[in-house]
Amino acid sequence: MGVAVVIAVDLANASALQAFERANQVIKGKTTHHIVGGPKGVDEKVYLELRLKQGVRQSTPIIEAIGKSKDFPAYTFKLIGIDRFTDGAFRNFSSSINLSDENSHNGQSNRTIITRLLTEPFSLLMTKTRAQALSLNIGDSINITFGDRTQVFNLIAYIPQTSVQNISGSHSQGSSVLDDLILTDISTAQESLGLIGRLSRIELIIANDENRLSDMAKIEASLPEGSLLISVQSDNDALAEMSNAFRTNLSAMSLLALMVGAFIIYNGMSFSVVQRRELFSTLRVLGATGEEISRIIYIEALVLGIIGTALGCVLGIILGYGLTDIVTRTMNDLYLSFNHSNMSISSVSLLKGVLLGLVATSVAIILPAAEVRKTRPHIALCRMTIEQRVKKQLPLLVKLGLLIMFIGVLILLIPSHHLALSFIALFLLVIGYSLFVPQIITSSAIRLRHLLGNKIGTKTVMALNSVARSVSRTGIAMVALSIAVATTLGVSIMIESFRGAVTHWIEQSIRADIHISVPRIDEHLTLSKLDPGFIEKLSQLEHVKALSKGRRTILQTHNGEVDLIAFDLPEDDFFAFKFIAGERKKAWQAFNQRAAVIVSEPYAFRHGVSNGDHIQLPTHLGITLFEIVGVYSDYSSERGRVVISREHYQHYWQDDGVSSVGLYLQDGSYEQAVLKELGQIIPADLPLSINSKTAIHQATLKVFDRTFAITDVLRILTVGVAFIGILSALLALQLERAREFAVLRAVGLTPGDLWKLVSLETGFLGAFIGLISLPLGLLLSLVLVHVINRRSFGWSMDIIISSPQLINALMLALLAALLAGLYPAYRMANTPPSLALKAE
Amino acid sequence: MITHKKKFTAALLSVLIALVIGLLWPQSQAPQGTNQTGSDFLDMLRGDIRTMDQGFKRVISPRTFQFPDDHGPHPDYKTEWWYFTGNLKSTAGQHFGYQLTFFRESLTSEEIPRQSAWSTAHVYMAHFALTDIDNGEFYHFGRFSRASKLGLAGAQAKPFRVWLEDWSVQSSGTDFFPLRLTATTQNIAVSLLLNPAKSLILQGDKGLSQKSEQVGQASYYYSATRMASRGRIQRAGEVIEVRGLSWLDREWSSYALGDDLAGWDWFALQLSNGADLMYYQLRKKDGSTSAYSKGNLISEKGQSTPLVFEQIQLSILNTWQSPSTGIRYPIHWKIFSAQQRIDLEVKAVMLDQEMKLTPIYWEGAVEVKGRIKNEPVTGRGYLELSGYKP
Repeated sequence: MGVAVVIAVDLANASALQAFERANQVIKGKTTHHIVGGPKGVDEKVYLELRLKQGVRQSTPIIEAIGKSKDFPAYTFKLIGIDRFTDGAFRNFSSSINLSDENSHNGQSNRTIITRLLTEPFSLLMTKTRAQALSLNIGDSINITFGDRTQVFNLIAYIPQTSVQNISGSHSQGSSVLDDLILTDISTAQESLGLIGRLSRIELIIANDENRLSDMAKIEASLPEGSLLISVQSDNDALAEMSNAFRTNLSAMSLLALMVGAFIIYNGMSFSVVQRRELFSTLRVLGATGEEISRIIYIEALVLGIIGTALGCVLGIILGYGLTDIVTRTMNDLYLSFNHSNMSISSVSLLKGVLLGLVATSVAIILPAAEVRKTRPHIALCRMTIEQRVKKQLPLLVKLGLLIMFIGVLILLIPSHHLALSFIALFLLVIGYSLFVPQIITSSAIRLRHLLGNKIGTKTVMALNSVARSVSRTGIAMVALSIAVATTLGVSIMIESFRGAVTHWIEQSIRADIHISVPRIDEHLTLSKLDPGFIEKLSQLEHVKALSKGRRTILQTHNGEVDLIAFDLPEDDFFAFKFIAGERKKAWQAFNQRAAVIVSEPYAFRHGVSNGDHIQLPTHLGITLFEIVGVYSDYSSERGRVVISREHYQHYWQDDGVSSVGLYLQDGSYEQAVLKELGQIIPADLPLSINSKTAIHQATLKVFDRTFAITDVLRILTVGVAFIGILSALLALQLERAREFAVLRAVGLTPGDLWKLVSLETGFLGAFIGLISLPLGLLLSLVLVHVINRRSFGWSMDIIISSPQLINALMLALLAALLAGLYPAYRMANTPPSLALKAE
Repeated sequence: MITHKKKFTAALLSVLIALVIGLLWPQSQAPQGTNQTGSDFLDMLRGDIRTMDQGFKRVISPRTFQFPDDHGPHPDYKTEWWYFTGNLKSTAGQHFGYQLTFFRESLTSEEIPRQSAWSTAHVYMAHFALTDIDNGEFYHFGRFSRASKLGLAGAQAKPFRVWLEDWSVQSSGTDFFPLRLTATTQNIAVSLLLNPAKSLILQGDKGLSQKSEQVGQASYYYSATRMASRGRIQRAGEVIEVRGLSWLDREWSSYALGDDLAGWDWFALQLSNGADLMYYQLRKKDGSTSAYSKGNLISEKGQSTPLVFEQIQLSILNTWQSPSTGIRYPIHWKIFSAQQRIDLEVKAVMLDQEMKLTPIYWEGAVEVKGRIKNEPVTGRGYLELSGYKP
């Protein structure tokens, strides 16, 4: 089970990430650098200068955009306009369409395909798979909308299958990446996007040799103001950093599951050993050496381990399918859009799981086997010895636990952005704390018994006694369950706090009643613009009191992408930003008067800047310094945002486009009326997103909840693993006490009484575990919120602890323990005492 | 008991190993590389009747050449080229051969007017090669580009210019000659000024070069067979002053070659007695030689004597097999004509002058030795071998 979870999470992680990286790699190809030009893109003359004057051979122009088709609403169309003559060095799929190659594809030669692509307006290629999915044949036309432009394209051929296969040697996965592509000539791309004279970017391959720097300097010198040479690596790094944070979170969860899993394996093995202690002792008495017996145990464990691991693999793969979907969806929400990610079963993931499973089994068996080897035969026949020995070790464990927790805290104090370190600390805390658990439970059981004294019935006393007595058997299971419960609690407090912070933030920051925005249709939002005439119409709508315009663009800089937002906001709305640093009034003045910006908390965190610092941004007028006059709280983007006034934005970027409009309505409930009116004035094929305040609120939380769906699944899995652990432990305990119960039955205990006894016992156990888990859970949530979340996303938030969460955690422990006690109780109650005694 | 256990452990081990191997197996499959073999020039010149674009002009009858207009492009015809080759010698006595050729191909005869400056109906291809004979080095490069309003590649008559990015040949003044030829790559650059030593030669029948008995399977063809050339070669930072002779071939046509042709062997030789010799042999797929193979012997004064198929005996003296493509090329020839009293041996100055581009062919500098009208001559020139298959 533990193995299964590790494998599943690892597979899901690897698959989603692979799809993500592959999509990136297929599309970016061998590009090492690119030249970008801010919100307006790059002038095509820059390319001519490079090719004709500078002799930069490894360069190619690209136009990219993301479109939708109203005929196929479920699909995304990623248009890539290429120059086939220079693109071949960059991308596999374009080099396979070879001008001189007469190999025919679907009845047309390559030459014909190129000819048609170049000379027929609005001609495009897509993969055969996608064309079939859309029931399109060669020669058919398809309507695709980019922003506010809809264009009829002609499918003239398929992207050759050979190129699809060549991508990382695997057909199915390569094709799924290419499936979203529509490949056109650069002329068609310019014409269909209204980008005459402009390019999205110029891609370059700059060899990584001793001339690299001088080559780059030469290119940079030839670029006009407003164009920037950027290494693709820096983009990828930023992307990798983001997805890494997400991945580490998931991996940590899966490791936690394995830890719980290892506990269970240990538990199971020691149980199987302890149960047969008599048999082993008999064997010893008959002359078998300790070594021989422990060897038998090892082999047995190995076989069990292999079987368990194999089952775990199968289960893991099945789980992996489900998880991949969830992970992909999350990554889609958070980062980029790509339609599919096939699960790829990587042998590395499996191997990892297998090794972990086998290692956990081997480690788990060492103690029981050693025990058998060392114990003298006649002592082994007596069970009390172990119980006593374990009890003696408990204080030692507590000391060890304290030490481990101390180390954990020390590590937490290390000021580092390193996520892995935080997780190590987290694990140390969990492990350290878990070492307390048996001691606390034992002593509290004893104390409770003394405390209650004679006021309670015999059965309760017996139950408490047995809880305290059977630590050696149930200890590990208790630890497992309390870790699971604590994790559940910690994570849910974290999510709840997060959700609370987000809700608060949405309420604060979304002031306009209705938001209208254009969809993101290209990487840098160059093309996402609203028609000025349309905005004019909006301002004249009835009930509209005021209107604010926003422009969002993604700047590419040497330090990765920067999300830049330009607003012309009313003063009230500016004050709605929750300032973490900086003074609002001063910021407002500076914001309107000079080249000043406010940045979101994650931005400040990632770039290590704070109020009063200056940041460099590439503008149309060259690299410009902007002063940070405030840092505000924001959860919309984990890479952070930079906000500038629209007036200054227009000045520095020479771009008067508007990508979103906020409508402020007159007092009264006119929302529905205005929405209805909007529906009439917006052309049907214009894919604008129009949202009321409430809708945005809901949508944001929906995405939020979806993001944490995987965490939920893992939580359930972890609890599931722990549940099985406690079940097996209790089962073992109760089965072993069959004789004891039989005696009790014989002296007059009814089956009902026995039921009660067992339930009480497990109930106490559950309650203790639940209570013990609470502090650990809170500790976990503290670390998660203040350390892990901040380090991985740069978000700070207040912890919100609600009593239902605490009660839930308690109930979870109680329920798990009670449920686990059901079967043993049932068995005990239904075994005739005579039969159980006869076993003697 | 013990042996039993050992067996068991061994079995377990083998199961484990099998498991690991099984897991690793799918990753050990290497992705298959692409193996693209380019087809040859014939594909560019050949027309499949079924798919032939009927809108292009065909070469049917001799034309009156109009210069300088005819130096520029002829977009009504499908295919056209400007073909510069030459042999150069440095002041220190090093020998070099060079080739700089520009090809234009029309994609369609009906160009649709469009908004984007990237739209085009013509593709340009250029090949550049330099043979460093003394050092045994052969450098060659190929480029493709669209011709478009952007000016990435193209050709024009007045003032004359043909270019593909930063490779170009253009008139240095208002007249066609002298021509400035420039080709630059990362390590190699050639820059030459070309001055004609003879007037232009119209090949074939007043410039119409018939390639088969089929009407329309012909090209318009003129040459500047001897241009005094001087300039410099740059090689890895080293600048070498050179002088020598260049040759220009100009041809344009639409679907000039028949489906039965396999390739051709083309000779352009500049001899020590001041004469120049052009001869091409069209090889058929059945192994025979087309009767439309022909050439010209141009005297020092510029008088041309047609060389017809029946009078010329071409024989192969030696071949060379390319180690990289496996193609076998005839690189040592004998050209003999009893009637014209020509007896020449033509031999590649270097074996490997294979243009490993798209398409793959052999084109390189050759040296000539022999007799014309019983007078001993030497010479240098260029040989093009196309349509050879592995």
